Amino acid sequence: MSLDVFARFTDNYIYERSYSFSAGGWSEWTRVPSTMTFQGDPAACSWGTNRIDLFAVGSDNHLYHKWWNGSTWLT
Amino acid sequence: MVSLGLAVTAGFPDVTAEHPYYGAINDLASRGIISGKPDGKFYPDYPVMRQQFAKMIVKTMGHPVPPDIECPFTDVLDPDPTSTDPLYPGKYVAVCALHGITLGKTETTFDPYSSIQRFQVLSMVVRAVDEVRPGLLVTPPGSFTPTWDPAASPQHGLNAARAEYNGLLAGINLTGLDPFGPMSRGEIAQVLHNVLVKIESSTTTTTTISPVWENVGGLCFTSPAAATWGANRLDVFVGGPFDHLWHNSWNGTSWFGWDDLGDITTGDPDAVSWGPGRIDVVWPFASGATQVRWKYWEAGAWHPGGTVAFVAADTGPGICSQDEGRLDLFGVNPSGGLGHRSYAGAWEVAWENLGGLILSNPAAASWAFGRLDVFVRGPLNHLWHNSWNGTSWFGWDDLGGTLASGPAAVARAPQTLDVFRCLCSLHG
Repeated sequence: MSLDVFARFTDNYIYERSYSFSAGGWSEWTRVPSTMTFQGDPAACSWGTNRIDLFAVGSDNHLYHKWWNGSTWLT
Repeated sequence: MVSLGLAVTAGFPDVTAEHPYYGAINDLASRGIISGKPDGKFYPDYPVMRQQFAKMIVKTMGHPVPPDIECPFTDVLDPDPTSTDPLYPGKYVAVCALHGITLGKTETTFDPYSSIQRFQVLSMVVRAVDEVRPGLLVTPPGSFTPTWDPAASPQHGLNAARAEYNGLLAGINLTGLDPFGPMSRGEIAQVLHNVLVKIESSTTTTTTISPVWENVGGLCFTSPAAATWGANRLDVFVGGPFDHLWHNSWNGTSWFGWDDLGDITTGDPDAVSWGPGRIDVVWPFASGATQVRWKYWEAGAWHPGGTVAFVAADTGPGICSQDEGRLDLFGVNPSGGLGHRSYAGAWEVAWENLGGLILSNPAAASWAFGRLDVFVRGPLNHLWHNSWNGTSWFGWDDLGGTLASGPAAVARAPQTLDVFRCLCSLHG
């Protein structure tokens, strides 16, 4: 159970910060592991506690996607 | 006097190197999970109260102990005025309940002062490991004969057999030990040491994180919006060619392909689903003033929703849903500050003004009915957060960062009453 917030930082990588209800606090900002940089705002959605789908637009104007399975980021 | 926790270890005079649990006791003491009595001895043969074991297992698993968590059991002191640890025992027992490590004796009682039995220890340990490392403790094959007959306890027998098969009782000679008898401090140290060895050896085989992204294609002239109505279903929206809103969806196997919805968008869309078969999309349309337009997918077709609100020039909306039939829309009020309006069969006609200096489009999420969290880039290019608890807005909260974009927000929640109840007790 958590709240997850994503944003593009000034280095154009996407960063994440999470609020854990069981721990009662916010994590530090961490960079989403990435081979590429982005433009604009990211978007995210979730269908369960162990799933986040994250989207962002690359410099080629294509949409890019990766997902979190509860313990790691996958493509 | 309870003296678990703060560990100063220089070995214990009553635990010599020949003692069967010497290694385990000193390992746990060095990690601060257990400590000796005030006289410096460990008393490895003494029993352990159930509330003492709650603290031991919480520290072994490394679970955080929120100082405001409420203990669900009425027979547990919170706190014990004679203890030097203000979290003992109530907060530790509450964390055990939160993680499903203990189920209590009844819904409201824990029986904190009884000596914990071997069977009870093994059930709590198995539940604790199952939560953090599902699948690590495998089910014994039919050929395995546990020392203690599982039929002796419908509640604990199979947990004890699984603990034994997976090595959590290694180093303990079970012959002659009564599974319903009190487990000694030494035996418990050995079990918790075995748990740590088991978990730590499993983390050496972590999967590698993929830094690669999947290219979904498209030609995006705006930021994306994403929504899901359930497992293996994704819907994404962007402003694309002809300034139209474009849509793509994932069915669990493949992407459908980019679909021109025809609506003109002059900025970033946002989208949400309140349940299977329903998607709501909002996007900005600048024609003089900037409108927020709305359409929704229901019964297998798109339905136009018209203009819902006006927002500041060059900004876009954020949307989330607290429940089926409910929407919450956020946008930068043309007169400044963040605006909010909700939908429950009809849209509210005016913005509720949450104030703030808003430098991006908002992102919103809801983890339960009556709960809203909204995020924006604000002063100092930090992330700023405001939340609704069903009664009032908390106010803007600085979450730092060096943002160059607006945020995306998502709540991860199982849709169960149990979790909701825990959260209510966590947050007052």
